[in-house]
Amino acid sequence: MATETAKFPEIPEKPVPLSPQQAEAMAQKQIKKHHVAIILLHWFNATVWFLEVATGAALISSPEFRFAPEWYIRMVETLFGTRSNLLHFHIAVGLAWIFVFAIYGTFGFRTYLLRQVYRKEIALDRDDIRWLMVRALRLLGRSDEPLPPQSNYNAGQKLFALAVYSLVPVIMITGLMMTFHWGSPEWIRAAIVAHFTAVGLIVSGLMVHVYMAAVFPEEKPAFFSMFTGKVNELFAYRHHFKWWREYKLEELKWRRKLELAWARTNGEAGAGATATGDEMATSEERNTTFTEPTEPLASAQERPAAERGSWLRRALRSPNDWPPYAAGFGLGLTLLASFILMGEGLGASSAFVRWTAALLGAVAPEQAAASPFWGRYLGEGQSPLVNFVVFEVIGVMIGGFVSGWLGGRLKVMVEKGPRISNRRRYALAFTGGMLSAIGARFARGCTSGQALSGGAVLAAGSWIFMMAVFAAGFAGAYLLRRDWT
Amino acid sequence: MARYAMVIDLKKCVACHACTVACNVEWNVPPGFARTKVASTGAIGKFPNVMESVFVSQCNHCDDPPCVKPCPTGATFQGTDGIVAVDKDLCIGCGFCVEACPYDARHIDPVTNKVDKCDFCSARLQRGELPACVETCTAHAKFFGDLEDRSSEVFRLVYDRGAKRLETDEVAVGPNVYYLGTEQQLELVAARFAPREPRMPKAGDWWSKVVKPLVFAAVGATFLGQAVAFFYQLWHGEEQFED
Amino acid sequence: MGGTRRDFLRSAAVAGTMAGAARGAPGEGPAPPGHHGVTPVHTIASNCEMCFWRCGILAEVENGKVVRIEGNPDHPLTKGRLCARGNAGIGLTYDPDRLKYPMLRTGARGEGKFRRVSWETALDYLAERLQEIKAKHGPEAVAFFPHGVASAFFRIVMEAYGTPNHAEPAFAQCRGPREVGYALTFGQGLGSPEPVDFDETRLIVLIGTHIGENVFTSQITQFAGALGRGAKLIVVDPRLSTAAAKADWWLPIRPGTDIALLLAWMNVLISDGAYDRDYIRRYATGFDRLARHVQGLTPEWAEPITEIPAAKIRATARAMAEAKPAVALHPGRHVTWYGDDSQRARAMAIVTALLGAWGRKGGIFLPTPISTGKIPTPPMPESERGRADGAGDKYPFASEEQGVTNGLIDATLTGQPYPIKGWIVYGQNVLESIPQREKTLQAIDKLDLLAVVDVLPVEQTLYADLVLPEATYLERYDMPHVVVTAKEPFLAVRFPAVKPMYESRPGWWIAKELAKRLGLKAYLPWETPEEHLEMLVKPLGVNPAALRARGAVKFPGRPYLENRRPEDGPLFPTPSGKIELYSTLAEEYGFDPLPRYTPVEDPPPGWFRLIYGRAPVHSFARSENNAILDGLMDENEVWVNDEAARALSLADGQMVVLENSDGVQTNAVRLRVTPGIRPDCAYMVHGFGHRSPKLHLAYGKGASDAGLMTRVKIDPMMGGTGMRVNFVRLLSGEEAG
Repeated sequence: MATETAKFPEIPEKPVPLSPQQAEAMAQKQIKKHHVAIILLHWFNATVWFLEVATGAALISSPEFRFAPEWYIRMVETLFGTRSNLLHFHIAVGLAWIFVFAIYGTFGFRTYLLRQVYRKEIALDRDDIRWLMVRALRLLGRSDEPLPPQSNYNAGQKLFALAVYSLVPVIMITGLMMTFHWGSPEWIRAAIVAHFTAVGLIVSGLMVHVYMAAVFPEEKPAFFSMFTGKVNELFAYRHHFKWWREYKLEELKWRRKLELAWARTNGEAGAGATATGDEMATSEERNTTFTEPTEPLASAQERPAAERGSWLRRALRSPNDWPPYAAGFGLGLTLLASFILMGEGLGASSAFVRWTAALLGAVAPEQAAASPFWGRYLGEGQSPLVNFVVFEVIGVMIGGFVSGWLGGRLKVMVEKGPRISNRRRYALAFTGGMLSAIGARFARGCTSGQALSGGAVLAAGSWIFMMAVFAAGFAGAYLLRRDWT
Repeated sequence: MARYAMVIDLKKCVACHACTVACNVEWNVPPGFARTKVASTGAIGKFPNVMESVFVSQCNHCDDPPCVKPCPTGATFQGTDGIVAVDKDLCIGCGFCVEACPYDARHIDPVTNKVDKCDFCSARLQRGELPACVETCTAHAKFFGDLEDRSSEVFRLVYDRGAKRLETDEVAVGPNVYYLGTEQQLELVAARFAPREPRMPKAGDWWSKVVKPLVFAAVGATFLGQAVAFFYQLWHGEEQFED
Repeated sequence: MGGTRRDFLRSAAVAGTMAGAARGAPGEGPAPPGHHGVTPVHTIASNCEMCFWRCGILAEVENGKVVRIEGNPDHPLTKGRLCARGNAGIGLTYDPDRLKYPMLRTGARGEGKFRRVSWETALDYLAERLQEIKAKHGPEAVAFFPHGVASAFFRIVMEAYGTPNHAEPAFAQCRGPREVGYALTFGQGLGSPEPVDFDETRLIVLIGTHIGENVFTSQITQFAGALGRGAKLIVVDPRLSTAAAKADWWLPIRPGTDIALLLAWMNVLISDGAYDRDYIRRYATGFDRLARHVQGLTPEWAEPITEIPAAKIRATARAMAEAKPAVALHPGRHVTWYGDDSQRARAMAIVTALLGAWGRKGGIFLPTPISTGKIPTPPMPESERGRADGAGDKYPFASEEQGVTNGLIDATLTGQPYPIKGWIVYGQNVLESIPQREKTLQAIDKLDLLAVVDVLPVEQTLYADLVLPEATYLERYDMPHVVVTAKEPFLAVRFPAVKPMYESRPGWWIAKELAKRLGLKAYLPWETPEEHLEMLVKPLGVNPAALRARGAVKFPGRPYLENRRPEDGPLFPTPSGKIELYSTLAEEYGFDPLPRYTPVEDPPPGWFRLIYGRAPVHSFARSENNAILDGLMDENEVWVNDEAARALSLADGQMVVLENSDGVQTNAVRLRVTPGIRPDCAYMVHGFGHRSPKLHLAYGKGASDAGLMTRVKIDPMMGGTGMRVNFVRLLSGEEAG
């Protein structure tokens, strides 16, 4: 510490009062707090917790043990149709959760579980303990003492993490025991009680977590960081000073190395100038230059054209992708419309199946009719092409074309990662296509028919499918990450 | 609606075990287990003044079944026809119901690790058939029917011939398997096979008496704490916390 | 199929569907299609062979597999009911230990080493060996040990081959004495099922018969029906059997003294003048000699012998007198106990006659003969040398139809009256069902050929030169059988429900293939089972298709004396044409014309007389390897009186080894200490203690009573082996060795 302080005098060891200008500058500057994988994992986890607690509460129906009121249990039952659907859903989500965390644990064991988790997320130091006391007193308005400096996660978060890291394995193991009936009834009984206890304790902590994040004003930037991955520097300085300091030190070290390299190439001794300049301002500039990618400025010239007219026109003519929330909402409305107008949901893979069936029927009618699979489509009494999904998929193609044309994005290109050849891209696309077609037939539906349409009507199988898609996607993305970056 | 019941005539039953095997085959009950069991009180007395009675047991489909309440997941339930059944899909094999049954009519199937017991052959009833044990009973000692149907054989046997329920003052849960037999047989059976008090395993006591209040308290306390903080925040305005 | 049965609860189920609860009743909702609600099930009417009672079954077949067996409600005798074993039939067909293909022995006898061969090779081998023996020693040198209806086709081949030597334990180890005793008295035996009129009876008398533990479906139905109607029950048994526990009078008799009890009963009936005077006057001879014979044999005389209080003997005799003629004195089934068994059966027949119960409602009813079509075959060859087993000669009253198994074993051992060089064992278990197994093993040692046709690799197959795997009863057609001892006689057929598993073959196929190789094709002049069935049933006016659909067809019966017709033959086909209370025929052959009590030995102190019986869930030594039944009872126990056990410091549940007077010991077996047995007896269920390691479930479980039967007392009248003459003592773990 001492040597570092000596080396980097510009970074204070303890929080110092900031000038309004400094504060303003820091408030404007976003620094990265969370890796995108962590964000994804967080929201996956949050979804799982929501679904599992909601269904689990309805699953325990014994008047002796239940804690959810009867009306709630009935309501959830009704939502799922039968209690066994409810249980299957609970199990499917739980298994996906375990699977994802197993992958996370396996591939990120050293990075995340050992180093990061222990040091940053669990271990409490003296400041942390002090923080806990001050925090409580401040909450109750009994103290104005400033909060002791905190690292990446504050002491409250750490405490909660400690509970979560010790109880989550209990939940997972006891859940597996109940699902797969491991052990004698005595063990299963112990398992269900332990499952309940662990969830209960975490939920009581989860309430603080959710309140702090979503309701408590001071922590708002932390909440948003769970979407953007970034917090403003001022927040980091005030709430996670230790982490801010580490961040700055790291940044400075890099900068010096770079400057040294720069100086060497240019034969100038420019290193000293930086050291004597206005630290904050310079660091901000340099920081932007070196560590943060610049904002995308593409298509700046076209902007005026696209920004004219009504919002709808603007949206349609926009060269950029819609925000995913808007797109998702729109897709939901489309699905709803499909259910209302056509009486069935959206799909994709069965269109291909039907085209193949029609083709086979035309080329080799007898063989196709004899096949138990194809025969089903050919034996409907009309062409296999007379089907909503067939036309829907044609519509999707036309719609996609129109959308691209409106947005001025029509272009012949091979969409691929920067590092791979066209040939590899084609091979991968072919393999992936085959796999997804085969998988879609196993599942009797693809991401459209099963996950989207089925998921929307809360079919247990569809949710299992969806969880499996996420889990497998997570694993597959890791293996193929080099093909896209 | 119906109120299904069974009457077993111990005077006629000769302990041939056909019921047990018919049931075991019908329901794939693994070896060593049974949904309906044939037993004996054992010989009682001093040679040559000895007496003994046969006894046949199975789920009693009680009016007030003690096995339903402790089932955490609702897998055990009582239908509108009085049949107490197990939804195997929901069963996690915890065995709370096994401990609760005063007649020890339930067991954990070692193959599925889920609870199993007699359900009066519901699936057969749906096909208009009698329960397998009744249909095969070589002694015609098992009778099955609807007690709400005054013309049924079981109605006659229960209300005219006075078939008895096997219950005690302490454990009176309204079993719907009734017994006919000589006075001596019924006495022997009552002495040997009287229902026991339902048991609650330790885990269950912990759950309902310790863990559940604890979790309620923890969740309640954090909730209250949050509420206090929230109102404090509202009272003082958000500015104080803003930077 | 029984429409009424299937519809039994239909209305209730329909009413149930109207319930609109959130979670309806389990019995509600749409009916599942099949057995387990998955695939359609089709049903084959056939009959059972888990024992020899041949109850009507419906085999439910799903995907080529029998998934469940139910009773056939159309069966005239069993009417849809089935016992534990019948319900467990699939456990036999799908027993993984089954004999799967023909095998020729490669190791030493008993070692269990075989080589798999084709049916072609196996049958050629068998035919060659048989021809060799015939050429060298004559056809009589081959003995045939069949059992049951399955062996009927094979038996035709053996008779055509020229041997008169066939014997099944059903006679000399089972019901032979009673057939002899009743035949000497009434001119005809009883047959199977025994025609006891439980349906109409007012009083049932069981002597050593343990109905309930000994289960024959229809007999149970009738027995329980009688009890339900309020019929009284007298049980004579040293042990409190299931039936004894239901009895109005339990007579725990000293073993071997039944004749004394029966004589005392006669004494009371006659001295009270309570016998059926009209019936005796009209139908019987020898009453005066009988009356003189039993004059002094009062209950007081019998009391010290039987250890039953005289008052109880008198009371039971009077109960019989009161209920006469509707007294069903069950003749017993396995009755080869003490060597005087035919005489005991005579005594039972005489009591039956005194009560006027033979051919009367509620007593013993009469068979109604029906005859099937004849299949034209060449005449059977006559043997010049006669039988080797002593039937009709050494044992004058032995059945030549069923033979004397132990007589054949003796002949094999001694070479007298002529050598026997080959055995064919078909569905019989010579080591378990015939006592003195060491003797049997020595006889096997002398053989040039031992061929075994069986379903399971029981111990005897380990000694066989050739093992042929037979299809189980669910997989084969068998000789249609006629049951005349039913109030309505009937004809029933076994049809295959599924194809034979592995390389097993039905008996008819094996017989035909062997006949072909022996040049005896003409004796089985049909090609398919269908053809065979048609030849047999056409003359009866029975449509084979209808028979096939229902499994059995019945005919009107004439079960009582009053409805007999001339074509049924004489009422009492005895020499005198009357009921022979005094048997002139017995006298002629040098036997007691009136039954006499001969004193029995008591076991020495610390020893017990070994008695044995059956369990309701097992069929002799046949079903212990059936997984379903093994799950219910996987070993036997030895019952000992509580006070006797206390004297020997033996505790309930402890493991003991039984040792007999010849030093033979059993496996360790659990002790059941109970007041429900006499202190001088030890009881165990027969059939356990299997010695074939190829029976994976049954091997080594429980103890074998058969192994302890090193001593027998031969019934001189018919050659039966009295087996309750062995004494045992109980050794706790340390003492055995």
